[in-house]
Formats: sequence, structure tokens, C-alpha cells
Amino acid sequence: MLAPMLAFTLRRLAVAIPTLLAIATASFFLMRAAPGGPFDTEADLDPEVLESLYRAYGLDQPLLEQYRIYLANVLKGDFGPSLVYEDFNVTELIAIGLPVSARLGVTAMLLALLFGGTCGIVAALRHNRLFDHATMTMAMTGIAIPSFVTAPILALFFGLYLKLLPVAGWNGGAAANMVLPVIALALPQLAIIARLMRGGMLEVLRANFVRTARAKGLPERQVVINHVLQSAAVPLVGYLGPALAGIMTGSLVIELIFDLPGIGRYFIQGALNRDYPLVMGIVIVYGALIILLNLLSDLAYAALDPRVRRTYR
Amino acid sequence: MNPPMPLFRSALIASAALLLAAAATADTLRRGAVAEPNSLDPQIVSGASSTIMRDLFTGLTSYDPAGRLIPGAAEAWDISADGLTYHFRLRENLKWSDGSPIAAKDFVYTLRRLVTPGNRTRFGSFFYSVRNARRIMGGELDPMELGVRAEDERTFVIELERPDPTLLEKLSNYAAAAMPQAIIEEHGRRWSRPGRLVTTGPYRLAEWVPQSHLTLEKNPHFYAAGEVGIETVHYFPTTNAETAMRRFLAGELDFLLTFPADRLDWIEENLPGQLKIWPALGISYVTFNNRKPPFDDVRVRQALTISVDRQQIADRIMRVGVPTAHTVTPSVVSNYDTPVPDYARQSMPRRLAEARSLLEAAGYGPDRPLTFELRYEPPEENRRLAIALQAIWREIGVNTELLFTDFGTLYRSVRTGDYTAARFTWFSPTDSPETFLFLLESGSTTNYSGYHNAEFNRLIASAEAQLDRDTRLAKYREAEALALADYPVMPLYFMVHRNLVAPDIQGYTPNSRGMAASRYLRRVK
Repeated sequence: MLAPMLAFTLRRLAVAIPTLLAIATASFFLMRAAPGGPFDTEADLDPEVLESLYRAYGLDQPLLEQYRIYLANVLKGDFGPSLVYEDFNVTELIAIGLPVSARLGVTAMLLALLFGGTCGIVAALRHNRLFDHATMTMAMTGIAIPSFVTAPILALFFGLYLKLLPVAGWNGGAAANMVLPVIALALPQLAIIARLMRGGMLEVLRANFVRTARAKGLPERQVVINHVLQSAAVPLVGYLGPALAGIMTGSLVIELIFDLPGIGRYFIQGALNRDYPLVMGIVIVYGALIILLNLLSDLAYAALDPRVRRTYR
Repeated sequence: MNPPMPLFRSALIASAALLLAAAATADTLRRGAVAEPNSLDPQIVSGASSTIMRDLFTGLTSYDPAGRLIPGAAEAWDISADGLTYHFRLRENLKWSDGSPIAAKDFVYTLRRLVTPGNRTRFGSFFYSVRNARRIMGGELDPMELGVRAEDERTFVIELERPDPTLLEKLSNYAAAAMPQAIIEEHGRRWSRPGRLVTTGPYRLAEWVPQSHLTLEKNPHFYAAGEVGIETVHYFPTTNAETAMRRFLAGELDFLLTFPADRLDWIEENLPGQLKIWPALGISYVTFNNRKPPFDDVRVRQALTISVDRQQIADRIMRVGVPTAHTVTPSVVSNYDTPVPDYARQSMPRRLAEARSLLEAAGYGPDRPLTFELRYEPPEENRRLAIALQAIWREIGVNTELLFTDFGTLYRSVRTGDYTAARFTWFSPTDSPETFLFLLESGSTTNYSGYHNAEFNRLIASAEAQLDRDTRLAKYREAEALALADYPVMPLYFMVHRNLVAPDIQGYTPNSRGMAASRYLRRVK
């Protein structure tokens, strides 16, 4: 069983390299197709100054030459200097921003899994009863209300009104500063996870093997834990891979509203200021994360479902 | 036993209280609503981070709390009778923040580095009046040919090509503060990191986490360290003005350099003593592209310009106490009497009637309405302004198509002349008409309208050559009046500084330059 899984993993990793190359190429040329340039937001630069800036960053070279140099540097692991944060390399900025976003994202995801998963399971077991309807209504609300609404409300209520928590800021990742952003990030995920878990559960609860388990006279608790959960989690696992990649690479809205030094803010600042190396660096990291987490979620599929395992040859 | 929830909450309260207690001690200041610096190298950082940079670096001259020019690193200076040679006498025992001595040769290095092409410095064009500066920046001459020299340890000399009445103001800029050659050459672009960056101003850099905060601590080697009140200054860069505002209201920040315009009414009602609004050296205007139709026709420019009631714009759209603008130079510029055109005093019905007949004379009417594209950029208040202009011009039969773009796209398009009309903002680094009139001078990098008037250029050149202030300002006034009669651009309103200052922060004097140096601020109990 292990050998085919290993071969599958290696095959997927081999495909990842051309995929990332394609992502880098597409984002390189798309960025350059956007109007404006990196130093255009400084309105009053003299042409002499501007020209010397372009020269200093190699932007005066022909586009294909720049692309060639860029790819060669990326293959060496060098994303180049940032054009907006001029004292830093893109690699340094990602090293500052990604841990912040990842820490928030993973915490939010764990919270969402814990509460959303539990709600989903209980709702499915109480199918069509009050708890089910209540949680699903709340879940729909959670999905429908965007975080740019919930985040300021949380900040206003817990920060300004109750004065319990700081309204914004990172403060080196202090627990008090993490509470509100994590809740705001977790709420929509929690809602989606609850719905996915409930849906998976309902399907499996009707399956023949569950009826068999019940007919054997197993107590309900054991039926759920030993037989239902494993299969019911399959759709959720498929969702978690890309969702985790998305949430770890930073939520722009949350980072703006709570003034957090995460990678989402770098991404949008980079895009607005045409910081080509920074945007491409983040896109490549994001692409790599998605590929990796999708692979992990596919492997988790296989671990959960023997039928899937067979197709991984 | 306590139920778990209150326990959790009391833990939160305790940690939050601890956090606030640590942050708001008597000798700290927490400032927000500043832009994230693109660099802390004083010659590379863009103008948006000037408050932080002035806390870190002091030039040969400096400003008092009211924004008046005072001696800085130089204790005194002599200007030759022809206005071309400046002798600066440095203070005794002038030191970097690491305690090593600063000498005249460090200023020689500073200005040479500033005009050397290819090293990413931004402010070289400030010093085009210095001998050979322009040719060095153009790559024709070696930086060693720059008109600067160290006569001895404490005497620094600048030689100019032409008199420059704003030179002393420009030398207050951090870009002209002493730069540590040895450290820059050793660490390259990373010399600006905490631990390496040596400064010359009231503060030095203790911590810098991009997008999170900068922490500045008092520089014990600053020449006036004894007068600096606040020990530690935290800067929190924000991209969201609402967030900064919430942090101010929650007591997490003491000083905001700006706040969202639509919160003004609420602030006036709830925080009256903490609101500071002051005229700035800046203008908001519509630049018409004079080079191509329809705005190559002065009648069209005039019709659009006179049809807009500036008072309405100021009172009903901007609502932050902005002064109305009919000239390019703000009324707050010192000793300058702005040449307000006659239409400003005429009634609106009369102006609208004249605008209609001007458009008709230019060949526009109900069958052939004037249609053009107006570009504008964030923030949100510009959208309201653009929509208001569209509605006002519809009254005289003009179709305005609005195009919203980001900053970069807008700046690129006006700089390259690839636009028809655009709303724009201009701030002057000096308290004088000259940088405002650059907006209209042929060949000037900020003349986005492409306006060209040989007589205007001649008057500006002759004004620059005047050593006497009043004669010079009179010439500028004459030039401005001449250009305004051609309606090259449409002034809308003059900019204001709008700050929020916590009640326990004292020592702030609002001024047109927007100087809010931490060194003059105090926290009172």
C-alpha cells in the first residue's frame, strides 16, 4: 500500500514544478500588462530620478530579458528586492508576513474545526430538530455576512464598547490581540465546516453499513465514532486543503481592519504599487502552499477511503 | 468554583489591562495614521513618511513648534551678497546617535550622494540650484564636481548656480541631514535596520517591523536632547483610516495625522478639544490637458472653471473646513497676496450664463455637447467630489465621464500626458509660491497640464533672480495672475491638515507645514 502512495506523491510533486513555473510566468506578464509602474505613486519624481530608479532595479532592460533574469534568480531561491519596501528583500518580507498570517489562519481553522465540526455532527444527529435548524440558520448567516462587516462590529463591541480587547494591532502576536481577528476569520469557516460535516454525516447515517452496525446492536455512540465519522469527514477533508492555504496566506480584509502585519497586506500593497517582485513572490508561495495542501488532503482522502486509495496507482 | 466563562473573561481583562498599562506610560507617545516608510534611508524614503523621518534626522536647519525656520545642525550661517555662497557653522560637539562626531565632510558626502545617479535617491532635484547638481544627475559630470566643500571641521560651504530663496528651508529636509558614509558603504541597502541606522535627530531607531510598528527612543547624543520630553515614540502605520480612528478612540493611539473626512461631524460633536484642522501648503485641482482637444481651447477651460461654485464644494462635499481655491498658490503662503481672479467675486447665475456662452462660442451646444473623461483616484472623498463636478457641469450641458483609477495609474497617465482631465493634489515642500507655480512652468516635471506661456516663464525666471523677498513675491504674483487668465488648471480647494490629538498630549502647535515633531510634544498627567 505504501509504495503506490509514495509513487503518487512523487508524481504529484513532479507536476508541481511546471505548474509553479506557469504561475510565475503568467503573473510576471500579467503584472507588467497593468498600467503604471512601481514608482508612479511618488508623484513628484524628476525624470532623471525615475530613470535612475528604473536602472537601479533593472527595469530598463527588455521585458524578456527581465523575465529571464527573474526566473534564473527564482530558481536560485532569490525573489529579488522589493520595490516598495526598498530596504528589504522579498524573501525577508515573506518571512515576516507569512508567519503572522499562518498563525492567525491555523488558529482560526482549528477553532472552526472544533466548533464547526461539533455543531455539524450534533445537527446531523438531531436531524430536523430544533438544534439542527438553529445551527444551520446560524451557519447560513455566518456564510452570508462578509468579514468586513463582522470584523469592525467585533472591534467596536469588544474593543470600544466593552473595552475588553485591543481594537487593532499585532503587538508581537499577544493573545489579546489575536482573539478578535481569529474569531472574525473563523466565523465563515466555522459555518462552512458545520454544513459540510452535517451533510457528510446525514449521507453516511443512511448508508447500509451503518444500518448493519446498528443491527449488530452496537450502541449509537460507538456507531457514530467508529463507523460514521471517518466516512462523513471525507467531503470536509477535500475542502480543508485549499481553504487552509487560503486562510494561511492572509485575509486582506482582516489584516487591514485589525492592522496586522500579515502577508495579505503586503500582497495588496504590492499590487497597488506595482511591486512586481513582491507580488510574484507571494503568488509563488501561495501556489506552492495550495499544491502542497491539496496533496495532503488527497493523501488524507486515501487514508480515510479505501476506494480512493485504489485509484492512486 | 467559578464557571469557566467568567474566568476566561477575567483573564482577558487582566491581560488587556496589562497591555494598556505597558503602552501608555508618561514618557511614551503612540502615533498612527502614518504611511509605512518605503525605506528608512533619508535619501530614499518618499515624502509620505516625513514625520517619522524628521524625528530621526535633523538637517542643517530645522523648525520650531510653529513651523518657523530655526538653526539645526548648523548654529549659524552667512550668505554672500550675491546670494550664491552659503557658509554654515556647525554646532560644537555635534554627534551621531552612536556618539561619534559629525564633521563638515559628512555634509559634503550627503549632498554628493543625493545627486549621484543610480543610487535610488529621491530628492536630488531639490538641490538643482547647487553648482553642477543638474549635470551630475544627468550623468554629465562626476559627483565630486558638486558645489559643496568642507572648509574645516565645522565649516560647510555650498555654492549655487543661481540664488535660491528656499535653500535654507530645503536644507531642513532629512535627505540633506548628515549621512554616515562608512556605515552605508559597509551594509548597503540594509544599513537602515535597527542597530545599524545611526541618526542625527532627536530620536534613534529601536525597532522596525514592517506593517506593524516602528519604535523610536530618545537620542542621548542629539544637540538638544535635554529639551526632548518623550522618551519612546511608537509609530503604527495604517492603510485603513477607520482602523486608526478606532484605535484612537480606544485609547491605543495618542496622535493621528489624519482621519476619515466623513467622521468630521461626529468628531466635532464628541471630541471637540482633540480635533485640529489647519490650512496646509497644498492644493486640490483639476488639471486639463492643454495639449489636445477639447482643452487646447481656452474658452472650454474657462467655462468649466468659472461654472464651479467653490464654496459649495468646500461646504457640502469636503466638509473639513477647506479654504476655497481660485489661485494655484494657497492663501496660507507667507507674505504672498494671491491674485484672485475677478470671476470669484461674481454671482453664480452670471458665471453660469457666461460659461454657457463660452461653450457655445467654442462650438458646443445641445446638438454637440462637450464630452470628456475626468480621472480621479482614492480616497473615497474624491469620488464624491468627482460626482459633484459631473452634476455641476451637466447644468451647462457638459457630459463628464468619470474614471476611477489607483494612484499609480493616475500619476503615470498625467505624467505622460495620456489623459484629458484629472483631479490632482499637490503639496509644496516649501512655504513659497515657487513650487506651486512650477505646476504651470514649461519644462517643469510637475507641469502636468502642458501649459506653455513664454511670458509666464520669463516672469518666473526673473522672480527667481530677485534677492529681495518682496520684489520676488511681487513678480511671482504678476506671473500667477498672467497664467490664471489662461485657465490652465482649475483650482478647487486648498488642503488642510486634520489631526486628532489626545487631551493629555500637549505642545502641539498646528502649522501650515504640518510639522508635528515628537521632540516638542509632552504627555501631561
